[in-house]
Amino acid sequence: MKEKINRYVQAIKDEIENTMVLLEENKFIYFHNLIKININGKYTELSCNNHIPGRANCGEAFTTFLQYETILKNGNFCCILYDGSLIKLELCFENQKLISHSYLWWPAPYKMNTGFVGEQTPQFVFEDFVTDNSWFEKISMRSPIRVDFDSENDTEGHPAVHLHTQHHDSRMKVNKPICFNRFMRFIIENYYPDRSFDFEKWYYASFTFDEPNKKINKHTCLVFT
Amino acid sequence: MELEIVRGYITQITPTENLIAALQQIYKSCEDNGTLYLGYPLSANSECKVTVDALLVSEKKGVIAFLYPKSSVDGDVLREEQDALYYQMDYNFKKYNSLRKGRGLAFEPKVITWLPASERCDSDAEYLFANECSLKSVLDELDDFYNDIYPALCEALQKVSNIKPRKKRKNVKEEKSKGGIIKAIEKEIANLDRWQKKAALEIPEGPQRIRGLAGSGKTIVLALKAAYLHSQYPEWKIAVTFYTRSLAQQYEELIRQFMFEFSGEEPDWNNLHIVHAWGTNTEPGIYSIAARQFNVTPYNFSTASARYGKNNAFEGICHELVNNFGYDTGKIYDAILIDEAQDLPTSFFKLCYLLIKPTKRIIWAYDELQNLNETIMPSVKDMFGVDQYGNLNISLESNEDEAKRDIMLPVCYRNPPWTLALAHSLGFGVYRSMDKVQMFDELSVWEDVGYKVESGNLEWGQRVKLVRKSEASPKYFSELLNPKESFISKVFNTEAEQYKWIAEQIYINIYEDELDPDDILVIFPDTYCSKRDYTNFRKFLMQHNIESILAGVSSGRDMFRIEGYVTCSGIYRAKGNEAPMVYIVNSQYCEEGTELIRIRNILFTAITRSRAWVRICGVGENMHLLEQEINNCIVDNNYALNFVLPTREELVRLRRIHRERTEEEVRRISRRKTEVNSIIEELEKGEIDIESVPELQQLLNLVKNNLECTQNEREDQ
Repeated sequence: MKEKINRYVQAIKDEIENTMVLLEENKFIYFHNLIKININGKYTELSCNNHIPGRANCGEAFTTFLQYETILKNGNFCCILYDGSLIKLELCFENQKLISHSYLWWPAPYKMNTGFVGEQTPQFVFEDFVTDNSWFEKISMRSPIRVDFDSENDTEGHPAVHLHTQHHDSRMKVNKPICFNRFMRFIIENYYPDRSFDFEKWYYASFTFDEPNKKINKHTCLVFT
Repeated sequence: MELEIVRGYITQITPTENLIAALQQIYKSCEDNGTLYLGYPLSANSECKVTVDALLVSEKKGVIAFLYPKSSVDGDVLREEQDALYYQMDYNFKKYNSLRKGRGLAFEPKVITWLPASERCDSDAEYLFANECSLKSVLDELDDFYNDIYPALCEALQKVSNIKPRKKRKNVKEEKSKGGIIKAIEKEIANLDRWQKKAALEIPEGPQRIRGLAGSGKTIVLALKAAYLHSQYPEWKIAVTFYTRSLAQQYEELIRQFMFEFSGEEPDWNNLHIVHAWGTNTEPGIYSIAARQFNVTPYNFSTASARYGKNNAFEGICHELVNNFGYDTGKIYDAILIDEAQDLPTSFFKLCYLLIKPTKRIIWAYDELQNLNETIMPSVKDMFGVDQYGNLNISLESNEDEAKRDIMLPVCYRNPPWTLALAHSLGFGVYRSMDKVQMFDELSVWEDVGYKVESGNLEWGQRVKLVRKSEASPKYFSELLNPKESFISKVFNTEAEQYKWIAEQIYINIYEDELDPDDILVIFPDTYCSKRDYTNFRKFLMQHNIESILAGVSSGRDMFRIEGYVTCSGIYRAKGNEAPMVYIVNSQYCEEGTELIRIRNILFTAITRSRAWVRICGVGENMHLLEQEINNCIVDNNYALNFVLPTREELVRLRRIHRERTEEEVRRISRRKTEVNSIIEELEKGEIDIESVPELQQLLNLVKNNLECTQNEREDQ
């Protein structure tokens, strides 16, 4: 029997899918996968398709070419952007409380002048790029960005919410967990400055800590605004 | 009755010819069917190679090996040779469960020493000797064979007993469910037919061409041939090449299986290369191997496209390599086996010619009918060129007593006969209310691809009724399937209705019909909309919790099928793949359009992906028209193609009208359509009239003239 999804989690999922459709309509997203729901007792996980364990998925693989390739080839993304960049997400809830999240933007390692048309899918263009002798003319060296939240792990060196870039052990502190829309807005505003959307009209789920004064080992609760 | 001869590695020509003549004489008057394998590879591994000079397999007598004396005709030596071969045969056949009875073999293989023109031919109960005069009596005295193990014996001898169905289908409970039916189809004995046997095991001293419809077993034949050659000549450098990248894995698996049967060993991949036709920096291909041989940096697709255009990229780079650097280089290969030759440009074959050693053992297989408008492969002259005296570099002529160099595989194992007939009917527009869409250049191709004339004349401008030959399809299709259930077409009012119905059917297929999700293929014919159409369609699948992939987009580039997922695919990605159940979505796209030849080829390809069932779905008026064509073929003509062939002049006109266009032409036509539609709309609304836009009168006159010209052209023809 189909397990019932918590209505707050459902709302988050719906919002993510709505935003992906909106961005696809606006040709910012090339293709999106449906969000997977995995319910295990009081825990609910929202994630991308085809989770592939292995070295390409571990923390140290962050920034490696192998990671981009593995995510792309296994369809392990939630969407591919118009330039071949990938977006991946994973959110975990305990009932309605968000207890962890991970949003990843993996920029395409190549620069493409034409869009993906017909059979020229991102898979095809990537293969072509990696086998091109003049790859150095097309390579685009951008670091992936990942915003993680781990409610169980909040120390000075490892803030509960943090942003990774350039190095898998770099963790820039972020004040609060963020929603998918906030993440996408951040990526678009900072890394696609020539693309504009009416961000003010987007819906942003806001999260606050259960016990704001305590900093360590605190779960987060979901607050709708 | 009949004696087939399969010419493999022939050790001694004269005794072989004598044996063939003697056996043919006997088979003229006896009630038995048999195959004589010349140079049959019983086993070959790094320590020992056993090749039987001639091996007769017959329904009535089982297995009889013929031995030619090597040096001595001394009785003891001959007996020892017989013992050694008997032991090898006994040992080899015992490996097969299906050929054993208790601890021993279910039959006794026989060994006869062939002593043509010799007087010393006294056989006893254990040791048999024969010459031209005594052969018949020696054979007559042999015990009859247990006929029920004959198919298993053929499997073992053809080395195909290890090709098992990919799926176990343990979930199938009902024999008559779709899952049960497809299981039965997949389990049909994997014996090679007579043409496949020749194609796989005959080794000509030169090139060989293998033709056949899609699904006629070309890939199996080439893989078997590669394994056979490799086991017999392990020191040879052999390349197996193709255009579809995903074939690499299939070839590797098949050749490994076959090699195990031949030698019980892993192939030596240093000498047997399974390579793509093009190749990349990391994976070698024929083109990139050749380029490196000439010390040239190989182009990749984007560079090649920039240089020669997307459609001519591969042709261009092969041509460049052959013309600029293709002189007197080191020949690399003893044999090159090429699959999907229809997808490869002529300059690629010239490149292969540069890489092949003087025996010129290039073997190429192609689909007789991959594209309905491109039935004829380039000539051998165009493919391989001529020498300085104008002689063909490669010739397909062979003598009667030699291995055949040109083999046609006439049986289509992939598609039921009625599915093929319907696909042809729609592909050619046989029952289209307006003009036909296209036609073969040579009408004889109809017979090559499995049709016979039931009435009328197969001549230009004449009425003809064509039906599928029964021998062009295996019997199991008509035993296990019926045309009504195999094929359904549906017209819907809206796309949503269509998607809903298909999703419901797929649910039934999985939960009632015992099919697996990955047995189901959903094809979107319109390449440019396939991603959007899929995104809309999958919502309906999700209502039933059915997971799906869009092949090549949400799965890896070469991954077409994932266990537990329904495969959805654009038409180009679907090419070369097949599935038991195929749904073609938004088929109205294939009814009408600027490039009708291309569009109808898409429909043909989509239908022929089906191994058993196909559902053609679509929306609106155009789908109604398509359904009329379908009904004309099925209901009115019972899957016969009953039509008037165009004249040659009409064919030229059809090709002109329905040809493929450049992107610019397509855009222009689309723009003009929109403009004309807005004129029509404004005229209907009374917003403009001829007085306010006098150019309309001019337009009207031009259209009238144009119509009259076309009419006259038709009448002249």
